[in-house]
Amino acid sequence: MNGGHLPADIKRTSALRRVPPFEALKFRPVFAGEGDVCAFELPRGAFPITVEAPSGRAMTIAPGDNFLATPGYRESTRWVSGGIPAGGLAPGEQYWVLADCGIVGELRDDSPVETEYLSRVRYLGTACGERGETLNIRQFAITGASARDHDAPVYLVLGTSGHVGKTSAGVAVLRALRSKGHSTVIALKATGTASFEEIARYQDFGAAHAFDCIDFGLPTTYPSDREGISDTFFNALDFCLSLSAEAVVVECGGDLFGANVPEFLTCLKARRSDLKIVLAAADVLGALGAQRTLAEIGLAISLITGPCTDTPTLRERTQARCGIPAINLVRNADQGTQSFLARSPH
Amino acid sequence: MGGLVRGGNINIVRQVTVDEGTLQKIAELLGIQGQVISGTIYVSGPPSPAGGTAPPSPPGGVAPPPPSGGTAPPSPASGRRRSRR
Repeated sequence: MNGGHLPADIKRTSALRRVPPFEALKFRPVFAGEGDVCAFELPRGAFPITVEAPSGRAMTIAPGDNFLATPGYRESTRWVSGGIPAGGLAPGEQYWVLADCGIVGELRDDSPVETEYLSRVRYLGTACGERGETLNIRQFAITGASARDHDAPVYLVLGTSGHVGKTSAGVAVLRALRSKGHSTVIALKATGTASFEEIARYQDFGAAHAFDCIDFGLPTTYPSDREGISDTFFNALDFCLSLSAEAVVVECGGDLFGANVPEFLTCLKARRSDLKIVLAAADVLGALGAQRTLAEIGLAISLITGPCTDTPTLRERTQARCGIPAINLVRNADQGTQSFLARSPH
Repeated sequence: MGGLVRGGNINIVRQVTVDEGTLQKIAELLGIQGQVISGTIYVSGPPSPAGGTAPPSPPGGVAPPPPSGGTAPPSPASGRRRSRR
């Protein structure tokens, strides 16, 4: 392989949503690192896969298609895990699509749950600019706060694992703020794997702006304990807190231990001492463990939700054991009748 | 190709319709206060007397006469203002 040109209409995944459109782009067969804009091929013998387009729509990659994605890491509590091998992705070698936003790397752990993006793809090369420089999503990231901290209150949503209702809880907090007349609310999905669909939900429910790690130059906030992650978190926080807003809703993807959530909480505590915390927990034990873990770093939960409140019995037990109000978001306020909920396979 | 054993789907709640009562409960538990509107409200002159026409209250103008039996309002330089926080 000697590289070549990528057509302007090449399919691109949502991890590259900040990379501007281009007429034509060169790519070179060089080793690729995290965040590099890379071309991959889904081999002709593979099944079609579904990934997230920059618009948030589910986009099919057909066998034989070339598409743009980026090397990255993932340590999902529910889905697959993997990362970038030492030295980077090698041209011509096959790797795995690890997340539907277009994270590609070596597969380390599989999930028994079906995922529509998980497939082997061949790395072709890295896109480069007019001067031959390697393109990376960092070059298109937000850097630096534009103004002083506006002292907007921060509402923090944490979870005991992936897919326990953190985004639903965050959207509910956003709606509660809006119902009380807060017209300008910022949403930040601070940790975990990027998903445009998730932050778009905040926008759909009235967030003035919604951001995730892509906006600050990283495809995910994995691996755990990575060096320099505090700089990214402080940049994201300082930018969001500098926006003229009446409140900021922050959601931490992943559980309390992964995705560098502990590091993020340290950064957030340095900026706000009066956090209001909502916990989405899978069960009572998870809620108790999260309560204890957060207490060790001086944080207290204000409200618990998630599957640990799915039945009145569970909700009452959670509330009694933790001594914290617990409410269920798929039931009405009297916690009796079930509200509408839509279920769909991931 | 692949070689992965894939299990069945699990159902995930993707969208929840939260009712107004639950939103109020969330606001209460998180201490979310109703947003206070601040600013200055410019109030026009008093109702005109029967048969008369109310003079406009131009910015920087003179305050209109008080209604019969009333007391004269303060005359700020730029109309009457009420501040609300």
